[in-house]
Amino acid sequence: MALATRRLAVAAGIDRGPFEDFLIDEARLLDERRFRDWMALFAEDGTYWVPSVPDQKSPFDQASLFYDDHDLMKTRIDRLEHPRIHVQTPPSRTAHIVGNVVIEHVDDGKGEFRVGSTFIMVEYRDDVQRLFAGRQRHHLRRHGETFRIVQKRVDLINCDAAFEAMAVPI
Amino acid sequence: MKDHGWAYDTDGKLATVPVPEGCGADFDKAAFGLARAPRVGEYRGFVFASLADKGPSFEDHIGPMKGNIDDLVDRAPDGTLALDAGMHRYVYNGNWKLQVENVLDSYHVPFGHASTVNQQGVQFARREGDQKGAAVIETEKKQTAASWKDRKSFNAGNGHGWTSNTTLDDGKRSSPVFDEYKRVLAEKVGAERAAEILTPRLHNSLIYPNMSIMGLNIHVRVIKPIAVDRTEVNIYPIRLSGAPEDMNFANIRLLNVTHSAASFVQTDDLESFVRAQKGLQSHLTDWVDISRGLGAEEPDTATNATRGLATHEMVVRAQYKAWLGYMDEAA
Repeated sequence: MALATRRLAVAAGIDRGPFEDFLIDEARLLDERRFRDWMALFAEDGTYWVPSVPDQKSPFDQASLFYDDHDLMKTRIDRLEHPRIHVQTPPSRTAHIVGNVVIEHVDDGKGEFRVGSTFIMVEYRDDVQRLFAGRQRHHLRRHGETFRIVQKRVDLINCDAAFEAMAVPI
Repeated sequence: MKDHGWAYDTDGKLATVPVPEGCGADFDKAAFGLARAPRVGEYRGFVFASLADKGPSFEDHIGPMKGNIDDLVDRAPDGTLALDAGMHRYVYNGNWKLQVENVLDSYHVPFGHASTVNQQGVQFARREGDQKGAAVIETEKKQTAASWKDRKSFNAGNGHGWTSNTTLDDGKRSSPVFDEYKRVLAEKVGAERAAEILTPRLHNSLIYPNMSIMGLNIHVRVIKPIAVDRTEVNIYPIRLSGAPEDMNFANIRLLNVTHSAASFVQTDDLESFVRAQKGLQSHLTDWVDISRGLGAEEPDTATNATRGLATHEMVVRAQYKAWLGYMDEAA
């Protein structure tokens, strides 16, 4: 499936490079805690979703770890910058690795793309180091020379585990 | 004997044993069912189990809290709740009682949840219909730190308690979805009863020792001690059967924001629990002061409970008194 779609993308003359660069830049904004710049990557109607069960069908009828629209993302980031956010005192440091980038779907008419990738995020905070990993899928919309995120979906391999507090987006 | 393939019915009876001819002549499957909880009770669909052979009866234990369960279940136009929207699971390195104290404590809110209040003193909205649909952003100043000062807490004995008082329908709350809910509820139970249901006594209820019901962003919470310094908490979002699905969806969405492991509210509580546990393990002091409001309690005849300010520590004292009683009984 993935190989077939990749061949399709290549046949359609789509270079994976700009997509991969976009994902790397996005991850870097998170790692540098430039949350407002990160939010600016999302379209006005963009959403950020981290399901709480594997293969979750909908963010509406089931609990999710994160399901933020633009307003909620802004509230989340306001809070991340609040001087009294105890769970970020001290703040998290993170390092993301993004790889295995595959263009899964192309809609030339709308200028929209679905890009799958695999990620690892290491988080260090207050003497504890934690590991998060999984697949992510970016639904992207062409925006001038770059993209805007219509949806970023992060499927953690342990999404249904019991977590200690998670304060920063993955 | 799971590694020998013994199989059990869903009621716990031993159903089949491989190679039965190896068993003794007097082998009786009926004697080898799964262990049962010594005592089980049920109220309006909630099943409670005790692993202790003796102790207060289920009726005596749950009695003071039946009204709180009614308060929740009665909100469903069809009279039943569905806990089918998954769950939030979080853990922390701290004792289970820290979470139990927290569900009825309002003293921690202004400091503990300061990061959810913006520079204008406005906390994000909490309910479908408060402002615009399912948005979780508030624009009008009302759920501010100051309002927590007026809140009351109630001690119902046995460690149980609740905090007042969040009216579901303050007259201003309106949206097409919420109005539809009110209409459906009134159609099922009558306008008078619907008005009563929408004026509940409760914000949070604690059914001691390990279950709570939150009446605002509605959910049931189960607190599971894992070790003296490790606790898992499960939060079940509630769908009110018969209510507009968009209202139930808004509640599910709101709980992502308030009580997921990545939420805006619960995460600061978890950090507090971890820090409190570190302090408690230091052994540099033997005492924790929980005397706020000592002597200020008063009887609440309407509910047959004892009432105090929710920023006082009456309910915390009541919890430890109950805990000590249960421990003495077990010893």
